[in-house]
Amino acid sequence: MDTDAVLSAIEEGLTDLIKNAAKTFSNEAERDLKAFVKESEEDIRRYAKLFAEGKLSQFELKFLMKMKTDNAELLAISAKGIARARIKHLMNSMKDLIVSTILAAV
Amino acid sequence: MVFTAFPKKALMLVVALMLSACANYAAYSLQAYTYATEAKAKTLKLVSKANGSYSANRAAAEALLLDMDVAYEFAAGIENNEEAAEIWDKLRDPDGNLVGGFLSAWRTEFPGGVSANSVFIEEFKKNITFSFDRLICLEANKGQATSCADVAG
Repeated sequence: MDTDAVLSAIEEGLTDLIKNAAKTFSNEAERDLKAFVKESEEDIRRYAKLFAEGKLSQFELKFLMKMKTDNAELLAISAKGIARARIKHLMNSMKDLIVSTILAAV
Repeated sequence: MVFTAFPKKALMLVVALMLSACANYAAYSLQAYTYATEAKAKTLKLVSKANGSYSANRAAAEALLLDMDVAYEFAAGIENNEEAAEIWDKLRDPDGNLVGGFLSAWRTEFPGGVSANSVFIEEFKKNITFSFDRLICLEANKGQATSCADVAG
C-alpha cells in the first residue's frame, strides 16, 4: 500500500468535504436570516397600517411585535442546532471517506 | 520522505480525534418529528377557532398544552438535544408570545374570542407557522442535511 498516496487522497477528500459542507450551511443560514429580516420588516409595516385601520387592537399589535422577537430567538436557536447536526453528518462523512479510501488501497 | 509524510500523519491523527470528539448530537427521531408536525397542525386548527370563546375551546387548548409538555419532556430527556428542548419551552411558555402566550391571552384578554373585525388570528398563524417550521427543520436535519426552505409549508 502506498501510504503517501492514501494520505494525499484522504487529505484532498476531507478538504473538499469540509469546504462544501461549510459553504452550503453558510449560504442557507444567510438566506434564512435575510428572508426573516425582509419578511419581518414587511410584517411590521403592515401591522402598523392594520392598527391604524382598527384591524388590530393595541394588545394584538404589541403581541405580534413581541412574537417577532421570539421568532428571532427561535431562528438563532434552531440555526445553532442545525449547525451541530450538520457537523455530526460531516464527521460521519469524514469517517466514511477515510475508511473507504484505506480499504480501496489495500 | 519521512519528513514530508509526518505532517500528513499528524493531520490524520488530529482528524481522528476531531471525529471522535465532535460527532455527538441527537439522532433523528420520528417521534420527535411527529410531535412537532402534530403540534403545528393542532395549533393552527385551534387558533382558527379563536373568534369563539375560550371556554368553548378549553378542552382542546388544555390538550394542546399537555401535548407540548410531553414533547418538551421528550426533547429534554435526549442527550445533546438542548436546542429542540429550548424551542419547545419557548413555544409552550404561558408568559411568552407563541402558543402558550396566545392561549393565555385568549383565556384572560379576550375570553369571548378575538373580535371578528380583527386580523390578529391570521397574522398569528403566519408567525406561529414560522416558529414550528424552524423546529421541524431542526428535527429533519438530525436525519440528513435539509434546507429549511424545503421544510417550510
